Amino acid sequence: MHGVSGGTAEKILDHPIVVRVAGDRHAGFYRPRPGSGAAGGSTDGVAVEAYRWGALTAGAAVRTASMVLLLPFMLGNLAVWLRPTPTDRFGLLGALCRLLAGTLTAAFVLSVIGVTLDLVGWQCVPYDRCREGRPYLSWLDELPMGPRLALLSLIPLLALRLIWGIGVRSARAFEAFGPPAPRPETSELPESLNTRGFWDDERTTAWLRQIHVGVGAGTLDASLLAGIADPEAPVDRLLVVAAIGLLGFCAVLLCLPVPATRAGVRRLLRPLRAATVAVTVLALGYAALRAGDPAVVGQLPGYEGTTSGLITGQGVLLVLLALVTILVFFGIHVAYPLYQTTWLLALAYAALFLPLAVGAVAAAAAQSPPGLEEIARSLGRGPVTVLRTVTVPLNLPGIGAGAALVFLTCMKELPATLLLRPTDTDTLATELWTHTSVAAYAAGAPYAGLLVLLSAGPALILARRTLTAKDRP
Amino acid sequence: MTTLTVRAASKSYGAVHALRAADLTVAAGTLTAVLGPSGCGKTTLLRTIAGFERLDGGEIRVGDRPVAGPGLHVAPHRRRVAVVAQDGALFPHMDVAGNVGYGLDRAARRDGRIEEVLSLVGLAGYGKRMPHQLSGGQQQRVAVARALAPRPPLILLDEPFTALDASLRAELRTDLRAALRADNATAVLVTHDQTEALSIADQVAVMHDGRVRQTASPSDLYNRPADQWGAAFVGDANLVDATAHGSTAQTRLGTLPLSSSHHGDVTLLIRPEQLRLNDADTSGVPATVRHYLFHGHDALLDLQLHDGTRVTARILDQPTHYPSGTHVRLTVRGAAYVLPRPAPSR
Repeated sequence: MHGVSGGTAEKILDHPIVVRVAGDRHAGFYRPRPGSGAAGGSTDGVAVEAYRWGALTAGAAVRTASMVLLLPFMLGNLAVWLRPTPTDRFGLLGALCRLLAGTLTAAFVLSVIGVTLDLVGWQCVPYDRCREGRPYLSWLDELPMGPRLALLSLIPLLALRLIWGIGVRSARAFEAFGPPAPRPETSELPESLNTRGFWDDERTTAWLRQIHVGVGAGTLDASLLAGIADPEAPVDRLLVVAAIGLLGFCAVLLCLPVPATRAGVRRLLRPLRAATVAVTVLALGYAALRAGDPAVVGQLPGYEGTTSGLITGQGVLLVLLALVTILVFFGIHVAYPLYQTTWLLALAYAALFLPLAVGAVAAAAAQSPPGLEEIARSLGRGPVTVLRTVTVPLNLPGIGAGAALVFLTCMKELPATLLLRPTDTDTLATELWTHTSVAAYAAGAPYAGLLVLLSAGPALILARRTLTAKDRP
Repeated sequence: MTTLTVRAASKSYGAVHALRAADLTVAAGTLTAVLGPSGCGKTTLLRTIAGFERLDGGEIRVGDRPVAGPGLHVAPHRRRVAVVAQDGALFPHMDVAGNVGYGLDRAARRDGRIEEVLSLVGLAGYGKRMPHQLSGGQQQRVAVARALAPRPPLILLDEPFTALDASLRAELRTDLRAALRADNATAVLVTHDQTEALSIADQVAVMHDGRVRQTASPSDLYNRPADQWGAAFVGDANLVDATAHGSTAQTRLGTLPLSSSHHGDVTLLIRPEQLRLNDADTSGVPATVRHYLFHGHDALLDLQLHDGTRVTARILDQPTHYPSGTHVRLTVRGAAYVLPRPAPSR
């Protein structure tokens, strides 16, 4: 009998005397005390046992609210766990999932901003009719827009602090199960969920927690500044750029794998923490000191666009995740004999770049005079001869251009190659990625140089063909 | 001997009827012009003869061999019907010799057929040139030579002079006719240019609304059109209502002799060149000049009779300028042609 309940173990087992047979006060297994009788509703030969999480908040409303709040994060986690890890050796899907999770944090903060800064501070307080029935808001009207929004920004910050606190508490609760398993200082995750020490990943959670705090603070700073900033003032522009820069820094960090060592984590998180605090303090301080009211029209400036952009970004990320997952699913379940062979890679290249080749050939075909094939057939030549002697020679420039374009694109293609290539096969692009992703730029340079050299050949041929065609009348 | 027979050919593109039971017969060794306004179906007729389009109904024979009909569609390359396109459509990746020899087998190429047809079209020695090195007129000559080279039983020319300027067009027209005659080729020329059709064709088929309205020699077509539409389309025409009394008819232009005996109400065709202008104080029907259009070799006058009837006159031998408002008198030369009455609609 397993379940989540606000009740005691005695209540779950319907027995007055129970003992904990495993676990601790946070979570444990409980059974009726031997010799104290059977549990209610039990049958002979069946050992009744309850697994109970301790100190859970009870109540349907709170539980439902928690579910709604946590659902996006659950989905993010699901996406991470469902990703085809064995094929995601370079963490591409992981990066996409982390970015998606980052957008969820931004959405959470934006939703609080929507209520506080936008609805209350921007759309209600400046209007007498809105304040009429809400005397508790009247004191806010005495403040100029800048200080008012700065004050209201403390609520999203508190919400962010709450999420941060929950995250810290969860990590500590994990540690309560016992001494942490010795864990190698490596970025590679164990494959199985029941591997010892799998859940003790303070380094990862600390890393992600700090980045998400950065994302939330950056979202708040950018939204606040969008409401009060004067686009013509250099200081305002600088602050907006700083807030957007903070968000960009967080996005870059989300794309990177978790540093292999605690020192590596600290090295990157320290500037992030400093940037988060500095930009937030500056934004709130600047808003608090700003006198004069901007023109209040409609919604908080930039809020609508930011929300729409965020939703669009989430949609794009989800579609990308789905496409990559479908491709890998196809490889595993439909074309398993092809899976992780050069043929599947070739198939993926064909699917990805066929439109490129078709476009080039179609453009060349459109330029050749119409009706030539018909004339050729009227002169007694069959379809195959016409194809060989007229159609193909006329379209050769287009076919060549298409082949060169596809060749160039295949050489620098990365996502599909990383996911689908055979284990022992590397391309120039994957070698370049392998080295640059660990900042070994010197090691990646030869591959980059070779890519440029190989690209130059087809590019030169295409350029010469174009020039020759221009010489013709 | 008949080379081409088209019988009740019909072809539709959705709701548009391009051909409605079109008939055409072409004798061996002749040039037939298919003349009609844009959209009349003449290009569709050519494409169905070439085999580029399937017939919906009717039949096409090349010589004695049916090539299209109910349940039959012979592929274009098996029909041996060569086509000369509007823009020449030379193969840009082949030189002139390659283009001309495209439809020839190896033996014919070795026998000097390429040089022979190039001479016929006045381009001897041009074999090594590439198409982009030729003028528009030269390209059309190569296209004609290419069609002539395999000695097909039928050559189809799809408005081959349209893209050329007026002087080059006249020269090429003459040379084309000479080349076709020299090779004893049978050809069908599709055109909307009356001058072109009347000047070089042995026979002209006038098409309108997907039907061949009349097939006749150029002079018969001009002098004896089958109906009012044909009379107005081929050349300028004065269509005058009259009452016939045997060999003469009473008209607004006076009593005129008829080309054939009729009685009762008729419509007469009087070509502008049949009208003669005289001074106001001489005999004839009085008229007033409304417009004077000078064409160089002749001039067209838009005239109004006293009862308001408008007629057109062409003057060749009177270089006099007639300002608007000039009063003249008109007489008619020769007999007036009585247009056949339209068939009663069923």
